Amino acid sequence: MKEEFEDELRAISPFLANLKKEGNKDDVFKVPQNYFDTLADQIIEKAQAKEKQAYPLSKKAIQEAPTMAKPHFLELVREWIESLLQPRYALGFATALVIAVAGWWFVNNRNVALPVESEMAQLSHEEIHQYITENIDDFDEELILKNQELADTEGDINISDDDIQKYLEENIDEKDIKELENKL
Amino acid sequence: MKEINDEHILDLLNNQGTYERGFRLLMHTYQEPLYKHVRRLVVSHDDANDVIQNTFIKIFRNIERFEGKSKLFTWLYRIATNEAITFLNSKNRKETDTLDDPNGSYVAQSLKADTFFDGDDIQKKLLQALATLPDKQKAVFNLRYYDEMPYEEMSQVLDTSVGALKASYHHAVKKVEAFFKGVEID
Repeated sequence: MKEEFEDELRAISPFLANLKKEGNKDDVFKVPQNYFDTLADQIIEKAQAKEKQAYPLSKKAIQEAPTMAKPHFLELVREWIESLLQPRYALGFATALVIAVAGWWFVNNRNVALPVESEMAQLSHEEIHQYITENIDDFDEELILKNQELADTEGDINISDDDIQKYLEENIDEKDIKELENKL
Repeated sequence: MKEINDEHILDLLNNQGTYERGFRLLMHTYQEPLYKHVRRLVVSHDDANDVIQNTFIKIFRNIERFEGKSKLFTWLYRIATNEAITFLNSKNRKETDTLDDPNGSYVAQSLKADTFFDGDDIQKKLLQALATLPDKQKAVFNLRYYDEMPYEEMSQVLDTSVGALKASYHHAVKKVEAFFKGVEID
């Protein structure tokens, strides 16, 4: 045992250091007769069998295989078109074509949802009025009143006192004036 | 001496015409120490034979992956150790009896029936003690205690830092000593 290994072991466990020094029999493991003489043959045979399984053709055979002449480009195109017309490919090709045309039509004809604002802008006043009249019950009263107030304040109210006086004279009779005076 | 042999072996392996001769020389040089290393880990000859065959078949098919960054011997040890640990893990999964062998009784039984074991009671008890260690700690103990491998080389074989290996060896020695003295240790 080399000194550095013995010193290290003794520092950790003097018991094991002594055990190793006294009885370190190195050949406790036996092997069958001629085991190491035949091991290389067995391994090479197995490794080569595995290689043959993985690569049925030897590398040499692949390297020595005759190479085919390269066909001309136009010849390749012609062969490709012919192959598409073969019955086994034609059905698949036709199906793919139908799907492609249907897809193109769908993409180009589908109704694209427009933003609400742009759709509203396309409606006439009459249409809006008609819709509101028919569906007035569906509208939230508070929302209508709020919008009405906003509309009133947004518009320019430019009425003179004379116009108000004139409106009252035309639309209110003596009886109404007396009623108003009583309320005040 | 071994470095010169390694160079010669690698030269032969680099040439397709001399590949097989190179491989035979490699096996002739390293089969016995590798077998011993594997046998200490898996104990029975049949298991060691399976592991060593797989190891050398892998070496035969992948020698071009040896980049020369470590010694050839270290690279071979690494493959053999990985192969043995994979084997033990697989065996532990298949045979639940051996999964938990806290007192090494399974190994003791195996050695009793093993006609290829020629050790005395102390050797048997040492193997029983080793059977109680985790597989990687067992490999650390074997490489240091039996093969007297420097920590730097062990680091390449087991892909573990030198510090971690020193700690692992220390712990393994303490566990083996405790096994002999019949004391429990964490």
